[in-house]
Amino acid sequence: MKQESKIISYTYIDAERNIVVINGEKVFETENLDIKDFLTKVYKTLCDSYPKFYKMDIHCKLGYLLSELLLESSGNRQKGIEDRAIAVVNSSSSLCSDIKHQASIEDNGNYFPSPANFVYTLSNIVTGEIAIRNKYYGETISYIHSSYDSKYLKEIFDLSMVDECNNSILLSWIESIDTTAEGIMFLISKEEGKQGVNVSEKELDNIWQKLKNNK
Amino acid sequence: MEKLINDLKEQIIEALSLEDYSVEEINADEPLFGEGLGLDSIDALELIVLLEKNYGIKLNDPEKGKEIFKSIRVLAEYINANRAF
Repeated sequence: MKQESKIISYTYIDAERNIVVINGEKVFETENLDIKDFLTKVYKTLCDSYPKFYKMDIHCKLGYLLSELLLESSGNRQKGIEDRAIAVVNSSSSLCSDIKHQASIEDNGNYFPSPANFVYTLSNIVTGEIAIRNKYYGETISYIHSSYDSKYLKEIFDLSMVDECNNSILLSWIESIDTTAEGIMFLISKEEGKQGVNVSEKELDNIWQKLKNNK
Repeated sequence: MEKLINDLKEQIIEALSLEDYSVEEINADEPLFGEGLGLDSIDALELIVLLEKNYGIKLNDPEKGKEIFKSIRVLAEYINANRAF
């Protein structure tokens, strides 16, 4: 009998509310930090040293932290594998970095575009950052969608698993713009013997609703 | 020269987001790339922008970068000799 694919673990960060949740449990919380300071605090408190973190834009920092906390807490980092996909969905794309870039080029008399900022003016960069960090050589893909949508996430998961090269996926909704930076990342696997909850549209929605309603 | 070296350290920390470093921790004679600060190709582009923005120096020859980005001291000497303001 074919085993159902399982949600092995998930992480959630709401930088505006200053909280980090792993598998439904609030593991870190501060008060009154702005988004950038909160993400730096999470990095310094909960993650191993990775100086490139400081160079990332807010979108990538959020995705990086979600992946680090997810892989470390679940004991499923499995560096260097080829059968793990990374898929990220968001609504505002790389608008935060786009706005910064625009500000650096709109004045002809003060025209100094920053290469370090420019490299983040693509929303799929976050998938590359995670893949590079973990030496994952599987599929990476980024989608733009209006809001968190469990049906859409389940469709992405199903599509990824059609490719027999993929046995697990980091599936994520990561949204950052202005004063908002919120994301969730699931580790889902179709490998036999993995413990977790069967993945379904309903389960992906239940988890999200619980996180949103748990003020 | 020492003031320029300190200014450069501050500007490099800011421009390259080297938040793990303080001015005191950066050795002016250490290589900027490879070992030392371990900068990458994007950082090199950022340094070129920094030179133009802060000192009015335009690097048109990328090969020149290899020479002047050897260390902060070498960079400071180049700025001293070529700055527009």
